[in-house]
Amino acid sequence: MIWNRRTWMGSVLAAMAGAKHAKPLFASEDASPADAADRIGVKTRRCLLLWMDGGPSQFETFDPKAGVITGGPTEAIRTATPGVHFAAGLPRLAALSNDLCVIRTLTSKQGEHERARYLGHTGFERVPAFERPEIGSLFSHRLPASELPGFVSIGAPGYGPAYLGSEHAPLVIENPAESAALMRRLQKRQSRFEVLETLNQDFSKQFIGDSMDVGQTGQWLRSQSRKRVSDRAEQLQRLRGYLQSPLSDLIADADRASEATSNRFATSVKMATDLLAAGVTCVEVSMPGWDTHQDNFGRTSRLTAELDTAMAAAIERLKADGLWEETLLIWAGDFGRTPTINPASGRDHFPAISNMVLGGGGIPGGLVIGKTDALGRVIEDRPVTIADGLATILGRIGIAADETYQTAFGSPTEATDGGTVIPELALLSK
Amino acid sequence: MTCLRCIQSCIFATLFGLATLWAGTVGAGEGDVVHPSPDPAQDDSFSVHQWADRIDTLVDRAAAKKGIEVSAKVTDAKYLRRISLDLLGRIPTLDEAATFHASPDRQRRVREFLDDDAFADFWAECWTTIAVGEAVSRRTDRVCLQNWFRERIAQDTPWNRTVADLIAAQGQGAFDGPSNFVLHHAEDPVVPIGRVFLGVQLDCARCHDHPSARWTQDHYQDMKRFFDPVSIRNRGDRDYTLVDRTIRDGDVPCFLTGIKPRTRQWRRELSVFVTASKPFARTMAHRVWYHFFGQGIATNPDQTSVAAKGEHAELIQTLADAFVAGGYRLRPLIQTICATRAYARQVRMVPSGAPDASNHDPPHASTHAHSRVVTRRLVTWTLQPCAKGLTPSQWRRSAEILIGQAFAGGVKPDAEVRVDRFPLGNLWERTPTLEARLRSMALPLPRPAHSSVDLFRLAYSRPPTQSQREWLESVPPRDLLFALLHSNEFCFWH
Repeated sequence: MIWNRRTWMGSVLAAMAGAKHAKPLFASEDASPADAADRIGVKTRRCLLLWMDGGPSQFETFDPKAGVITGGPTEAIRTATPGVHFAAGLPRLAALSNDLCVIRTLTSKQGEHERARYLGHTGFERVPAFERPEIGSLFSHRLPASELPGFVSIGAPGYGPAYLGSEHAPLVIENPAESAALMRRLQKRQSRFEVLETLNQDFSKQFIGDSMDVGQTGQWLRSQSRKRVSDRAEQLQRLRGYLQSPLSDLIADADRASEATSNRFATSVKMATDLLAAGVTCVEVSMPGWDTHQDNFGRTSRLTAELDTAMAAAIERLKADGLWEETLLIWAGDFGRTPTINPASGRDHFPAISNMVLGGGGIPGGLVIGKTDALGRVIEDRPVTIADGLATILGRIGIAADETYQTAFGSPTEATDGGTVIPELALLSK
Repeated sequence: MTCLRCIQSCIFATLFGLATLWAGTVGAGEGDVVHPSPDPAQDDSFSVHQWADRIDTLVDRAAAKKGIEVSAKVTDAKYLRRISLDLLGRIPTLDEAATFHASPDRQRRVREFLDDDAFADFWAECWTTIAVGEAVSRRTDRVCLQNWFRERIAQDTPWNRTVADLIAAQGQGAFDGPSNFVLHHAEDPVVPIGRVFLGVQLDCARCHDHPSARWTQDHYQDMKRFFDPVSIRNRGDRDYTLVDRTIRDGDVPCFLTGIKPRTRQWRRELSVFVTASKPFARTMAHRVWYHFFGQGIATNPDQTSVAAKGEHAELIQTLADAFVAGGYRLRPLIQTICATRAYARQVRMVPSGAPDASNHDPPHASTHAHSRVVTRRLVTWTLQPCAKGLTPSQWRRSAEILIGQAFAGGVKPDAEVRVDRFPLGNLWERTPTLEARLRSMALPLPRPAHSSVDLFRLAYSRPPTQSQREWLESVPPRDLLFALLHSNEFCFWH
C-alpha cells in the first residue's frame, strides 16, 4: 500500500463521511480486491487486458480510412456513437461503442515486437538490470486477491512483478486442457502437500523464540532466502491453495468449452471473465497473429471476426454479471501498422500511431481521444504517449504517475516513466 | 543506472555516517602496498587453531560488548551438513554421515572435503559467478573460465596470482579462461574490479563526483586508462580475442592509491597494484567469510571498504591477515573459518531492534519493502551464521544425492527419476507456466528403495525425532520423497 496525497485525502474524506468501509489508515491486509478498492476509494476492482500480439492494424480496427489509398479495401461502419466509425469487421463492438473509449493517437518510437510489448506492458523501455512490473502485477499489488492468484495471464508468458514480489507474478496458463488434466491428477496427490506442510511446521518450530509463531518463522526464513531455492516451498503452497479454489473448476470448464468451438481466443476470454468473476484481480489474454506483413486484409478479417465476437461477449457477460462498472477493459497491442500497403498486401510496423481502447470501470463511453489525418499518416490532434496511457490506466486504481515504489535493490522509482493522465479519463477531476 | 546506484551508496554512506570512505589509504603511495614474497611456499607455520582463536576472541568480545548471548553449538550432524553444502555444494551422503558419526573429527573432515574434486567443482562455479555474474553473454565463455578456476582451486594457487591473471589476461575467450573476465566487462572493467576485488563502489564516479564518496570522476578516469590498450577482435560467433595494443602516447593511468605504472604493460601493472593492496586481502577474506556465514561483516563484500572502517574493522583485518599469512591461499583461510566457534553456532533469529540485531538487513529482507507498514522483521546477529536458502546449484546437487540414493538399485530402468524434471520454481523471471509447475508437482514417482526413515535421515542428515519417527511410519515413501525435496529443512542451510 502506497500513500500519497490522493489516497490520504481519499481515506480522510471517507472517514469524515462515516463510510462503512473506511479502514484504519495502516491496514495492511484486505480480504479481497473489493475491500482494497473500497479502502483506496476507487470503483475499479479488476482488469481484463486483451493484448493483440504482433501489432494490430488501426486501419482494420478502430481508425478505418475507407475510400482513401491508405485505407485499402477495408470498409468503415457507423457505430452507436454518432460520427464515430469502426472498421467493418467489428459490427458487434460498433454496437457497443457507447461503452468504449477509443484512443486513436497512441504514439511511441519502439518498433521492435519484444521491446514494444515490454514498453506497452510496463510503460518503460526495457533495461535488463532494472525490471519493471507489468500492468497485471501492478493491479494485483494494488488490489490483492485473497485465495486466488491476483494476476493470471492466458497465452502469454508475461513479464513478471519485478520489485512488487513474487506473489504478484502472473500465473501463466498456456494450455487450459493440459492444466485441467494435471489438476485432476494432482487432486489424487494431495497427500504430498500435507506431508510437506508437516515437515515445514516441524522445521519452523526449531527456530521459534519467545515471541514468534510459525507464520513469522516462515516469513523470516523467506527473508533469508533472497532469490534462492526455498521460495519454491512457498509457491507450491500457493499453487496448492489454487487447486482447492474455483480455479481448477474454471480451467476444467474452459477445457470442455474449447472442444465445442474453434475460436480459441473466445474460449480464453470466456475463461478470463469467469476468473474475474471468481475474484482474480487482473486477467490478460493474448491474441496472436496480428503481425500482418503479408495478406493484411485477409488475415485481419479473420482476426477481427474472432475478436469482435469474443470481446463483445465479454462486455455483455460482465454487464450481465453486474461487474462492468468495476472492471477496466483494456484493448491494446505491440504497435500500429503502416498506412502504406506493401507489395505483399501487408502492413508493416508503425509505432508512431496505434490504437488503444478502454472501457468499463467507470470509463466514460462513446469517447474518442485524438485524431489522425485523412490518410492516417500523422497525428492531427492530441498525441498520447505510452507513458500517458499507463498513467491513465494506473490512475483508474488510484496510482498517481509519480507515486514512489521501493525496489528490492534499494532504489526508489516512480510508477510510470513520466506521463500525464488523459484529463477525460482522470479518476478525480482537478 | 548510475544514479540509482548512487542513491544506494548514498543510503549506505549516510547509514554508516561515513564522510570519508577507506580513509586509511588516502594519498598513500607505494608504501601502502604489501608486497608478498614472489613465491609463497606452503607455510607450515600457519596455525589454523591460532587464527581461529584470534577470530573467535574478537567475535566474543563484540558479543560481550553488546550484551549478546551467543547461540549454542551445532551438533556434529549439522556441522557435517554445513561444511558439505559450503565446500561441496551438496548434502552429505549416507556413507559420509556414517563415517563422520563414527569419528567426528571436524577438522579432518574439512581437510578431506577440501581434497575432494567436488570442492574444486563447486567453488569454481561460485567464483565464476562472482567474476562474471549469472548472466550468459555471447562474448563470455563461462565453461572455459570455470574450468580455469577449477584448476586453480584444485592446485590451491595463491589467490592474488589468480586474480592478477584475471585482470592482466590476454587470449581467446574459448581457450584462455582468465581472458573472459575482461571480455565480459569490456565496456567498463573498472567498476567490477573495484567492487569484486577491492570492495569499493566506483559506480557513481563513472559520471560525477559523488558528494559523500571518496572516489571522484578523475580517479575513475585515471583507472579507466589502464584499459586503453585493450583491443577485442571478433572473428565470428563466440570467437573473441583479447589483446593489448601498444600505446605510444597519451596520459599514464593511475591506481586509486596514487601509484602510476613504470612500464607500458599497464594491465599487468594494475593487476599487481590491485592484488598487492590491503583492500584486496580484506575483500577476498570477507568474500570467503560471506560464503560460510551467509552474510557479511557489517556490509556485504562488495562494500568491504565501508565495513573495514566500521566497528568490526579489527575482525576484517584479522581475517585478511590470516589470508595473507596463509600465502593468499584459499584452503588455510577456509580451514580457519570452519574451525571457528562462530561458524559452528546455531542459527537463531531475533526481532529487529533487539540489541543483537544485524545492522544491515539485506534490502531483500522483506518482499514488502514498498509497504510503509512497519513490521517487526526477524534478523540474525552479524557475526553469527544466518539460515541461507540453497542456491539453485546447491539444490540440484543435493537433490541428485537424495534421488540417486533413494532409488539406488531398487528401481526399474524405465522408471528413471531425473532432477531436471523438478524445474526450479523460484525463477519468476522466466515465468514458467502453470502447466510446467503442475507437471513438476504431479510428477509420478516410483517407489523408493528406502524406508521413510532412511529417506528422512538422508535428506536432513539427521535422524528423526521420536514423534517424527512415529509419524513417518504412516507416510508413504513416495509422498515423503516429494515433500522432502521441497521442504524448508532441505532447501535451507541452517
